[in-house]
Amino acid sequence: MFASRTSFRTSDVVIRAAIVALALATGYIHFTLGGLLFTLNAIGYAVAAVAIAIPLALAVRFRWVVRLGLIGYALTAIVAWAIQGPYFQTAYIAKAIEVTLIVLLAVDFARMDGNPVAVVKRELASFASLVTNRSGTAGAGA
Amino acid sequence: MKRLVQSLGLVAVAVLAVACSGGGGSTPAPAASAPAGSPAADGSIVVVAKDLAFVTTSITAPAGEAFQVTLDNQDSAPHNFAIKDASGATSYKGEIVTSTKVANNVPAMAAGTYQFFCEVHPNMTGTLTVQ
Repeated sequence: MFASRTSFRTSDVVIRAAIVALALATGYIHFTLGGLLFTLNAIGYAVAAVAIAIPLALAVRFRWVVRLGLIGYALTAIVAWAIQGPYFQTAYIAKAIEVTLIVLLAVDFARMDGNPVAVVKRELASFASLVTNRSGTAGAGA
Repeated sequence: MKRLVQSLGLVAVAVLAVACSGGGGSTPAPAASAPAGSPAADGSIVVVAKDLAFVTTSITAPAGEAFQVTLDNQDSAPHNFAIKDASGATSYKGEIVTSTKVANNVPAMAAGTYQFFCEVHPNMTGTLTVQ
C-alpha cells in the first residue's frame, strides 16, 4: 500500500512542501470567495495538495500525472481569470501564487521525472505492453 | 508508516501557515442602517449583499442625473456593484469590497432597464430601472 522508502534531498522536500503550501494557499483564497465554482476550485487544490505529498504506492507511481494535472489546473484557472476577471487585489495575489506554483511544479517534474515527452512516451509504451500481454493471455485461454 | 506521518505533518504545517496568514478579511460586517433598496439618510440607494445574493433585486434611479448606490456587503466574501447596459456591456464597475459599505457614484444614465450584478459572483443580479 505504501511506497517503498526513497531518499529525498533537502531541496526536494523544500520544493514539495512549497508546492503543498501554495496549493493550499490558493485553495483557501478561492474558498473565501464563496459560491459553488470557487468552492469546487478550492476542493480541487486541496485534493491536489494531498495527492502531491501522500506516500501511497499508487500516488507515487502516478505522481507525474498529478504534477502535470496540477499545472494544467492552475493554468486553466489563470486563463479563465484573465478572460473573465474580476481584477482586484485578492485575485492578483491568488494568480501570483498560481504562477509560482506552476514554476515549482515544472521544477519538481524536471527533477523527479525528467523530460515530460519522454515520460508520456514511456507510459504509453508501458500501457501498450500491458494491453498486448492481456490480449495474448486472453487468446491463449480461449 | 513513518513516511505517511511525515507527509501528513507536512500538510498540517502548510495548512497552519495558510490559516495564520489568511484571516485578515473576515471581520464581522457592520449592521445595515437602512432597509435594503430604500433611500438612506443622504438620499442614496442602498443595496445589501448577504449570503451570496443581493437582498434587494429591484432598484429605481432618476434618468439623466448622477445618483449614488451604497453597497452594504454583509458577507465575508468580496462583492461589488456593477451595471450592464442593454447590449450586455458593463457600463459601471464599483469597487470590490468585503464586509463593509461602499458608496458608488454612478454617472447619469438614459432611461431604461438595466441589470446590476456582482463581478465576483455573476449569478448575483438585480434590476435597475432608470426613469
